[in-house]
Amino acid sequence: MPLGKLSWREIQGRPLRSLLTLLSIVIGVSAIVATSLASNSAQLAQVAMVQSVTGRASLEIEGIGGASFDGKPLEFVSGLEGVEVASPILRRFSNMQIVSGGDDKETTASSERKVPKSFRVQLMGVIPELDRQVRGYTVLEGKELTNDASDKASILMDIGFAASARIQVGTQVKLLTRSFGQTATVIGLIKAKDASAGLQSGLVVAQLSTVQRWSQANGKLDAVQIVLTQDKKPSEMISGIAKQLPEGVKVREPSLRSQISGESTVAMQQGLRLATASALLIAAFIIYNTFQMNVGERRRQLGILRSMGALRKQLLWMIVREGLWLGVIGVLIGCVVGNIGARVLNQSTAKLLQISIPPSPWTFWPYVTAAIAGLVVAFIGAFFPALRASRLSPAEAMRVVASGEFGTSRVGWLVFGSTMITIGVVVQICSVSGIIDVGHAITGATAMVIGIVFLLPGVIDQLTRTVSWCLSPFLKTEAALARRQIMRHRGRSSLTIGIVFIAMSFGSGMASTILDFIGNVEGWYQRAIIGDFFIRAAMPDMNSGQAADMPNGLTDQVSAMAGVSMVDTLRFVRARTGTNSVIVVVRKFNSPEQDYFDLIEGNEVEVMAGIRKGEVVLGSVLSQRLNLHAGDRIPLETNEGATELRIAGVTNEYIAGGLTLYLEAENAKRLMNVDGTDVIVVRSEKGQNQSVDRQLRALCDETGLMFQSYADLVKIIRDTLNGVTGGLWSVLILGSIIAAFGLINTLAMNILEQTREIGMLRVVAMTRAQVRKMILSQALIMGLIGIVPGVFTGIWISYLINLTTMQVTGHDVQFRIYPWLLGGGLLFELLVVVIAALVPAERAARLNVSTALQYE
Amino acid sequence: MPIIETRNLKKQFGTGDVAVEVLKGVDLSIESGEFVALMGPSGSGKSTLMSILGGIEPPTSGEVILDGVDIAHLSDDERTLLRRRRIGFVFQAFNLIPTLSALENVALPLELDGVDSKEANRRAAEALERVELSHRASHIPSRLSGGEQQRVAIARALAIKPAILLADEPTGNLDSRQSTRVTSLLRGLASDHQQTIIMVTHDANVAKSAFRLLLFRDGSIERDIPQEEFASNFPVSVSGQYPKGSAVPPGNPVLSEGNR
Repeated sequence: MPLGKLSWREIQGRPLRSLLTLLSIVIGVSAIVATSLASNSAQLAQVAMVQSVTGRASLEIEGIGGASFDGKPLEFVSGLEGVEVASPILRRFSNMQIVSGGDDKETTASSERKVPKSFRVQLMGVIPELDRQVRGYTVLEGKELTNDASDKASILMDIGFAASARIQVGTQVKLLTRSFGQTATVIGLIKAKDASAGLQSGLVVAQLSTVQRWSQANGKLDAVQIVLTQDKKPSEMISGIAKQLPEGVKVREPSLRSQISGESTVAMQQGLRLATASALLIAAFIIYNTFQMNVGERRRQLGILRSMGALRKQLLWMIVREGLWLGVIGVLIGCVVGNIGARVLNQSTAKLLQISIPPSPWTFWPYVTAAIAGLVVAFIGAFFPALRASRLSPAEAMRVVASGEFGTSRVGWLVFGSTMITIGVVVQICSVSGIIDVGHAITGATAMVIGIVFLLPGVIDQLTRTVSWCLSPFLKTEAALARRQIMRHRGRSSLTIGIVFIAMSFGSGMASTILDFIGNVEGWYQRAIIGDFFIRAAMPDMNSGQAADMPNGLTDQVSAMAGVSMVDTLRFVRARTGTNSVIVVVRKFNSPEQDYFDLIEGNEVEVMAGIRKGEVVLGSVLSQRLNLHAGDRIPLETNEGATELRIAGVTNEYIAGGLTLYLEAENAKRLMNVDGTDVIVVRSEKGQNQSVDRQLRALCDETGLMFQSYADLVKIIRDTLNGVTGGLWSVLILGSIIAAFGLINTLAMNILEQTREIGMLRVVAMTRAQVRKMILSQALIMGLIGIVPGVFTGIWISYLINLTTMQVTGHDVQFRIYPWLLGGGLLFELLVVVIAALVPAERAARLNVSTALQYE
Repeated sequence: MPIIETRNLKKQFGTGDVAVEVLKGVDLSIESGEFVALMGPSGSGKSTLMSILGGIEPPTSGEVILDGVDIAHLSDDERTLLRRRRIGFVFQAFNLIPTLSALENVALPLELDGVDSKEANRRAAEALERVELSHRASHIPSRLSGGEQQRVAIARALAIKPAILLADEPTGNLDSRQSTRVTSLLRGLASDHQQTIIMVTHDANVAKSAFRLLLFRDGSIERDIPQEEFASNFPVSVSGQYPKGSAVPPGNPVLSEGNR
């Protein structure tokens, strides 16, 4: 590697330029890592959760709609030929508090404690000796759970969760159940086989009869997990078992339960993917431009190397290697930054969707994908300038004054740019008019933007002429001189304009979309979240939306409070429609005059009348996925088999990613045996808000329940929106900063080449102020050509994103034009351009005249 | 047997109306160990001839025979390898890589040819010793004087043990003291080590140190003068300079009949 040393010194010798290249790669790579990890973590966590519960069971018997069922009629299953084990299970979410024996320092109530006082757990009632054969956990500390009477109040706990909660063997805990708080002792810490240690909602195992008693569900089961003998396949057994099952119970493969997966994060992922794509695009152009300049600046050096016998391929590899080195460093930093970004995104998502997301599980592919993308971008960015450099003849390269920018074929760019624009426009027209999938509109827009950038070298002459004419009343001579310098390096100037253009178009497009999205969410919660106070046992499960059981009789207790005008209950139940899983939101709809929905389809009065008589309201995403609308019928698995229910309306919905179906409580009980409560919604009488607040807080403190006021809930949503949109804004601002660096780079290069000319101009009486104006004019001409069309392209991109939102995410986000945003964005970018020009302009103005005249 | 010779060598830049014929059929033969000075007004084609002899540029027509091989018709990569192994270049502007030390600059062509770094450094140190710059081996070019930089450039050219050393105005950027030192170094290489050297210069005092003088004008060799002839009556007089940048040197003695 004879030229390696030289490459390394070149990188060190131009730290700012290297930093710019590095920054471009870091942003692109970290965007990929953060986006992939954030979505993967949600999806993998759900799979892990399902695995931790189902273990190696190859079949599972479940109640329709996730409802509990009577266990007695299922005793035949264990006697069937081909069934090795049939393990009955009752699952309940619960809120757990430490009574004694834990690490008091960390767990005692205190506003500064690190570990919360209450923990959300998944309580599993099992017959220990059967369960061990299904889920294969090992007891690492303490002892096994038995079915003996002595273990009636004993529990096993996941060792990872226990460690995070500072719980040891012997610790006494209180579990909030339908029978209020029940005390149990931790007798063993277990390590579940499949990744359940990473779950925030810890796994707690107790005797089946104990959990049945606590949950007031005697004889009831949630599932029977079946392990088959090796010679039997699940498909062979399903029909045989199904024939003997009582009504309201189904047998199926457990893997189907993981179907409700990352749907809830789709909308955010779409936005992040677009931001990632634009970050990568900008990175590629920046790196290309940087290396183009780098090679231009080093042409003499390249000539020397060629004259002393460096082969073309050696030079090509030397420059490409510099790009790849920066790529490798950028990838490493980008992976770390992306990992941190994923954590921030996960936290925001968890808040927005009211779910708990475990820490990002280790996964290999996001890093590999990002590394490949980062290296490919670095390679492409460096390769073409390197190729041109290697084609230089040594004699030409060593000339003191370059004969002009090498390797710019205007016709080639025009043809390529026009082709890209044509393809982009055709794709957009086809997708908007419904000929092809509307989701391709964004791809079309991206192709169009790239096409415009490539078209620039062909039209830059006319564009700079127009802009410098516009500037001439203020900067006459300076603008004319600035234009000449810009035109002297058509390719470099075009790329710089292109970078500003991409940053502006994607930036304003994304900003506009973010505002639309925020407006939509605000509109939704103002209409759909009705209630002054909300009580729940714990934050709901991300997989099913189910929360911990609430004690029975609590609703009556709240209703009886002074000043309470209305009490409503919500229950989230997993159910199936055809082959799809949905979340059924069971609600009482107690208030006759209340608007409950942010309706997209259907009339409020008719919808409320319909839902009270057994019709359903679909969440917008579900409606979109199933292509079902108001007036259609949706098949829902109920006690009576697949029941066709009329759709009264479609509502804008963000709960559980919009894959929801609303059903009135009485009808839900009749159709799906759903009872119990996940959330109690309370409204107070006029002027009684504070009094009800006090009473409810006291109740929640006493019972360990979670209390939220409307303001708390709105704050959570707003904080979350800020978190999600904050991430997007940062990507956009970073885009602007990178564009500014690109501009500084180009201006610095121009000044370096103009040194002699500036010296000459100073001799013929150009003042320092005029030199500054000349450099500022260069920045303004390039900036304005990029910014103004960028704003309009941004509006168009925003429109296309909105057009595709419904199809891609199921949310009907309204498109709006924000004049203040576009005007502000334009002014902001112009300010960035002016600031970017300040340092180079000052450097040019302060050039020593005699030194400048001798500069070669 | 000549180490290098050209036959009817022509070079044209541009085409059509803007075509300029820089070399108009140059025939030249240089024996091994010769030290040849090329003089002539600016634009007469000296540097172009040097580029073609060194394989930097291909001729438009004609032959360049180096050690029996016509290098005019070699591919770019073959010419590059030829430069790497057989030709040493010394330029007026030194053309050292500014980010590499003197030793690294000298070792670079060896490393480019696959010589391992240890051996390349050893040979580079040897070359630096020949130009009496061992004590400056670790300095980067900006820390060296013009004369020292040029001696590093000569060491770099010598490190590959070239068949020919091509020096294009090696003293053009140096003061008279440094110029004398570089000139005697080149002469010593030719007389003591039989190094073939072709040198372009505008300085008569520098040219006088060569064994043979070629006077160039309008793309062809006007006179070929052996040392014994120009030692007593050097054809360039007065300041001893061909004024640079002037296509037709004022009062150039070469142009006067009496000096032929």
